[in-house]
Amino acid sequence: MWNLLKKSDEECRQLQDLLEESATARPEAVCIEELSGDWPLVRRKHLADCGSCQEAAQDVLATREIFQGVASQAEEARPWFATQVMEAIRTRERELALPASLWSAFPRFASRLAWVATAVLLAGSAWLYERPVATPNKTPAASTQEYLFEAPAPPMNQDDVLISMAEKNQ
Amino acid sequence: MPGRAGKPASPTDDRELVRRAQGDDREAFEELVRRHQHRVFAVAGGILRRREDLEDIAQQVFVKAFFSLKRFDQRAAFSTWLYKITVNECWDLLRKKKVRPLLYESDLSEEQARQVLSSGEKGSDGPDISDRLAARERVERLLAGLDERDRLMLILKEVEGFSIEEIAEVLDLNGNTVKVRLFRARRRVVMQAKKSGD
Repeated sequence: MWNLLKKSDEECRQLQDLLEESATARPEAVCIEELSGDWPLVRRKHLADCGSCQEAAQDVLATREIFQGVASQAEEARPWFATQVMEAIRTRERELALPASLWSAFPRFASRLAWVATAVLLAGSAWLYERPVATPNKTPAASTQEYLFEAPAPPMNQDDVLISMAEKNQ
Repeated sequence: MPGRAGKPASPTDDRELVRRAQGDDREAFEELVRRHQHRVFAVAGGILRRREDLEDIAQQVFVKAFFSLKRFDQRAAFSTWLYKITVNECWDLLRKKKVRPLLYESDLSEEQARQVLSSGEKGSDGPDISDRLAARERVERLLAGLDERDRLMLILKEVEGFSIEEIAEVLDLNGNTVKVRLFRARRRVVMQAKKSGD
């Protein structure tokens, strides 16, 4: 039984391959007979007996009919396109070359840049060192702060901590 | 059905162009752009559908490819590598913008709609603008319930004319998986069409 099923699957696969080839080779075919006209007898017999292969053949023809007259995106002539692509490549190259030329200029100015950076650092640290330090004022709030963060009074006895707030209020 | 997105460029020629582009030959890279732009638009169009995003993304894909080209070791085909960049860029954009990837007629101004379909008009004896717009809108509605990948697969196969192998490359999937998923996606679209009476 399993072998029979397997054989049938293989035959269907072969027929569908043939169907695909015939559909490509005969774009004008409008019925199954025209598609399978020159197929070997064994294949035609299989097609006549096999429902799923007949369905596949009909689908091929029906799909072709559905797609008839649909405009292809590739049909349109675009003579300018290659030139446009080459221009885009040149633009991209210029964009890529710009940061590279900036970096190539960097070593020329590196020594001067180092001197300037050293001078700025020296001047900055001298100014920070010489800057008068402001004395902090003691604010009056500091004394009340201690009071605010004072710990709450301890419970009167050990069991107080086990009584809920509701019970306490009663 | 010949691919509407044009034939994929020969990998052998691409190899030589990539090698030259890796040696800073701009003309070689420009030639690669010309060769692959249609298919990059096709793949991006399968995911995004909004024209204003499409051109930006396609340009971004090629710029990214240019700056990563030195790291590309040519073990895979250039086209495969490029399509993967395209898919990733598109999904990144969708994540960033959290935009609805589908396009309906109401999303397009009259002028945009005219632009979308202008190429089809030139020298073609096919359906007129309103028919094609209606067809497109109907398809988008039918595809709305599909998984993003399945939707892309169907568009690449049925609209852009990609082969199973090419779709497998774009989505980094096994060919058999693509076939199975395509059959399932077709089934769902057909069921949806029946349900909505199309």
